[in-house]
Formats: sequence, structure tokens, C-alpha cells
Amino acid sequence: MREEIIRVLSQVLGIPPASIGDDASVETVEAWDSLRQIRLMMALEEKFQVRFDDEEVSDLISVSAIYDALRRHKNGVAL
Amino acid sequence: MEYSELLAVNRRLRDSLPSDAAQLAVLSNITIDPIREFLEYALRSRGVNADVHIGVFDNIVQESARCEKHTVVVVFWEMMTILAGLQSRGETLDDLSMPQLLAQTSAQISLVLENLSRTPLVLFNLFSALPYTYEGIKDARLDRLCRCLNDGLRATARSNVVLVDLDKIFAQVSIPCALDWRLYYTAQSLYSNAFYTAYTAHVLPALLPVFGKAKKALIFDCDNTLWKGIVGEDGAQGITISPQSPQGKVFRDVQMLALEMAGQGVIIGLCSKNNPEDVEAVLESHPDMLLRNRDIAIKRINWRDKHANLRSIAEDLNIGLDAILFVDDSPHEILAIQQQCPEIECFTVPKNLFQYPSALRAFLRCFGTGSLTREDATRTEMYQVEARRKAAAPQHASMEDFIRSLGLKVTLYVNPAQHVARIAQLTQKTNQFNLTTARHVEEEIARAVQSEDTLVVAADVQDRFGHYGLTGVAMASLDQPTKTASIDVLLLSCRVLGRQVEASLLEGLIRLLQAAGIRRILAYYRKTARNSQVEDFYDSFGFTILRQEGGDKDYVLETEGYHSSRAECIGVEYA
Repeated sequence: MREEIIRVLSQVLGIPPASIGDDASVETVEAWDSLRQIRLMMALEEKFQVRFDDEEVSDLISVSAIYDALRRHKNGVAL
Repeated sequence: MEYSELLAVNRRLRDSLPSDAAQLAVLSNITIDPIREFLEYALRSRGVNADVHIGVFDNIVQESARCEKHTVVVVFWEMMTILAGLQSRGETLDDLSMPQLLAQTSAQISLVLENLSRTPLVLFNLFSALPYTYEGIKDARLDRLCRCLNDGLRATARSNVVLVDLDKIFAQVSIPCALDWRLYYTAQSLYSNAFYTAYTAHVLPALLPVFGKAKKALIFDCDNTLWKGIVGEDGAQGITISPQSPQGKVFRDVQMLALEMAGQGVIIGLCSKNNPEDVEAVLESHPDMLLRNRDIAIKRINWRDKHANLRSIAEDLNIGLDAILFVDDSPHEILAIQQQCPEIECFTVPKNLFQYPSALRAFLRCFGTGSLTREDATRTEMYQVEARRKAAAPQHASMEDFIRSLGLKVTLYVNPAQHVARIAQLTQKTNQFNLTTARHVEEEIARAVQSEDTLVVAADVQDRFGHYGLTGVAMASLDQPTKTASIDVLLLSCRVLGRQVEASLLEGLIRLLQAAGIRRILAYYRKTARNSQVEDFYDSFGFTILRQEGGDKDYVLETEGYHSSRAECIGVEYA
């Protein structure tokens, strides 16, 4: 699933997947700004068929936070 | 296509499209950023290189003054932020505030429209309070406010403005699906991807003609597409189009849609695997047919591959494959065509037949908007007349003989205000015999016709077979102090190619410029994928090349001592 998240990030930000590490976040990736963040949320919801809760929306600012949120939605089932 | 993929493909398309991108701007008082890729992809995937620029947030008025370079400006003026939180204060605002708000906003709207008066196309959304009022039974004050704002918009919008009814988008997508409150409260971004997708599809018919991509022809298969049944098996009397039968009614509605399209200038054609006599029997004598031979401009009824037939249709009509919409009931046929001619847009008759007319109607929106011209109303007839002309051609020994036998007459209209719509349409639709491919909308032509510094000439052609209509346009801008003019537009719609009409148009223009005191004429050839046939057009009329770069050519002609070299076979009149 981490690879899928990184692939989506790569498509949304327009940078190669190789440049996005498991520890990537809005702090470390220059292209990852607030306008890209809107697109990221929409892309993740469509790709993983989830709907993020209102409280979660502002948390999706790193690969690991996204991973945790998706896992919660998928009830911890390994993807 | 998945959203993340659309983002990636959109980026790739940008790199693969040649030449400078057309500039579009979206101005809004909310965060409207995500619409960018939807609009870009819709255009780029159809071969139009376009960049969408999002205006500074909540600065619609100021940004509207900075749009000189933009071909299209889209305005998303959300009612809810005219006054902070207006969507929740509609009923509690005191009686003074509403009229004040209305006056203030109306004044700003007028200013924006004034600033954008030179933009070729402005897509201005009508104000809507529906998202906040649709569940309540009473007529809310916010609805009344929007109605007043919209009445004002309709009254002040000029011809370059297309008003977009957001309520239609909400009707398609549903309001809960159209809005995203999470994004609104965290980022002032109100709309969902579902909304952006529907909005883009909704406005595409208004966008495409501006970039020369209007659809022109609607071609139908016959069996189980225009009638129920297979004429080769059931016989001409065995097929169903009866108003007494549910399926018959469906096909009648489809035929009526086709007739409506024909009335708007769309070319209707047939492409079917059948014996021609079988289809003729239906067209001529089936009592329930609504479409008849008089409505059909072109037919390919034979046993050849459909993609070859469609190519032949495009060639005969002198239009690009991308100007054709093809309707068939067979997914196999459609697949084969999509593989062989991906430029052709295809529509498959739905398996659930009762959905057919409404689904087709939605699809037919792509035939565009804009004023109806006389040519539109008589286009089918003109193609039929053209077919008769072509049939007469082989009887003559030479091209000159043939042209003389036609008795061609060209009438040149100078700065004709009555032909503004047709002139604009020709600049948008003509691709092959077009020297500069400069596209113009009605507003621009109207201004050019009034201006002392531009000369607009439209060529109307007829012969003994009938009227071709207005088929050529030339536009020149004049600089009196230097006695120089430059030919910014020179085009001929394809039906009159090869008949020396172009000589009459160019030489007529030169004569008019000479009479206006012009000594020097500059002209341009701008190379595109479709206009290589006019590469040497100016050369053949004695223009000298000033500059050549990457296929483009700049020319000059000194008018002193210029003699007309051809066109003795054509009578020219000025009007």
C-alpha cells in the first residue's frame, strides 16, 4: 500500500516516485503545497475508495500519516 | 480514467503538443484551483494546446483587468462569499443590506464585463443559491438575490459572454455530490471532482469552436440505430418505427433529434452495411420514417469496412475526422473504428433502448453554440447541390472549361455588418484553406467591421447549379501613416476549392487596399498540420518572401504596378 500511496503522490505532484521516500511529508517535499493537498485528498479517496473523516482531512500531510489513515479505514486489513 | 491518472496524462499531453498554448483564465472568489487540470485535459486531449491560469484568490475585479492575453476567461463568482457566510445569513440580514449588496455586486459585475469586453469568450456562471435553499419549500431571500443578480447579468452581458447555469450541473450531479464541505472549511474550495467533471463537459461545446474544433457531421448506422430491425432480413416493411410501438417511438425520437441537428447546420449522413436498394426503399417509401433523402447530405451504403467509409465521408465533405460523430448499435463496429480512426467520436446505442434518445441528446451537445447562420439552415441542401456539381465535372475537357461552364459569380461584401456571425463561424471552422488560422468570435468581427483601421471582405459564391453562400473571408489591418496593410485573415471554406475563387478574393482585397491608398501589403503563412496546400499561395500571386522560419513565411507586395493575373473566368461584383 505504501507504494500505491507514493505512486498517487507522484502523479499528483508531478515528480518521480523515486524522489518520494517513506518519510516524505509537506515539510520535506517542495512540490507538496496546500493546493496540491486538495488534489491529493481527492485522488486518495478515489484510488482507495474511502472517505476521510472531517478530523482526518488536515492530518494527511505525510506518507506515514496517510498510510495510518487508510489502514484505519480498511480496518487494518493488509493491502 | 482515474483522477490521479488524468493529472499525469494531462502533464504528458502538454509536452507532446506543438506550438504555443492558448491561455485560459479562471477567476473566482473561492478556491477553484482543481478545475485547472479538468479544463486543460478536455482541450489537450482534443489536440488544443491550452494552459489554464487561476486568478488570484478573491480578486475577480482586479484580475479581470489583467486578461488581455487570454482567449477564454471563466468566472466563478460564488454568492456565498459576496458577504462572509452569506449562505447562512440570508434570512437574518436586515432589509437595508440586501439592496445594498445587490447594488454593490451589480456594479462590480459591470466593471468585470467591461474589463473583459475584448476577450474572445467569457464563460460567466449564473449566480445560484440552490445548494443552500433547495431543501426548503419557501422562496428564500437568497434565491431572490440571485435572480436579481442574474437578471442584471443577462441585461448587461455582451455577445462574447456565455452564461452558464450551475443549477443544470447540480441537477446532473446532485448537490450533496457537487459540494465538499471539508475542503470548503479548510481551504475555501467548494466543489468536488464530480462537479468539475460535469462542468467541463457542460461548457466544452462553447469552448471547442473558439479553437476550431467544432463538430460538423453526425453520421448514423441504420439497422437498430435509426429503426428497429434489420432491413436486409426483415424487409423494408418489417422494420419498426411506428409511433404505436414503444421501440418505434424511441427511434422516432432519435430521428427527430437528427432533424433538429440538421436544422442547426449539422451535416447528417448514413454509413451502413447493407444493399443500397434496401435502405433506399426505407428512405423513400416507409410511411413512418421522419428522416428522408432530403435531410441526408451523404451516404455510404455498402459492404466495405466502416472506417474506410467514414474516411471517405470526411474526404468528400472536406472535414477532419475529428469533426465527425458516429452513431452505431454494434460495439464491435465502434471498437474497430476507434482503433482505426481514433479521432472520430463514437456513440454506441445503449443496450437499454429506452435510454437511447436522452443519452444521445447529451452526447449531441458537442455540436456547439453560437448564432445560427443562413448557411447553417441550408447546409444539407448545399452539399446535395455540390454532389450534383461533382457529377457534372467529368464531362468537361479542362478545368477552365468546367469553371466557365459553371458560370461562377463572386460577390465581395466589404465590411458587412449583416454577415458578422457567418464570418466568425468561418474563421473558427476553416482549417485547410486558411493562411493564418486566426480564430475570431462575433464580437471581434463586429468591431473590425466598424473600425476604420480594418478591412473585412466576405466572398459570396454562386453558379448555375445554385448558391454556395458566404465561403471566403479576408481581413486586413491598415496603417495609413505608413500606407501599409497586413492581411491577418485569408481563408476559403473547402467547398469552392479548385475554382479560382480564391484568386478573386485576394485580388479583390488588393484592389480595395490600393483604392484606400495602401502601397505595401504584408501577408503571412502560418503552417499547421492541416493547411499545407496553401504553402505557396502568396508566392503564386507574386508576393515576395521577407522571412522564413520553421515552415512559417512572411511576405510583402508593393501595390504599385500590380496587375491582376488570373480570374478572367469569374465575374466579381462588389456589395
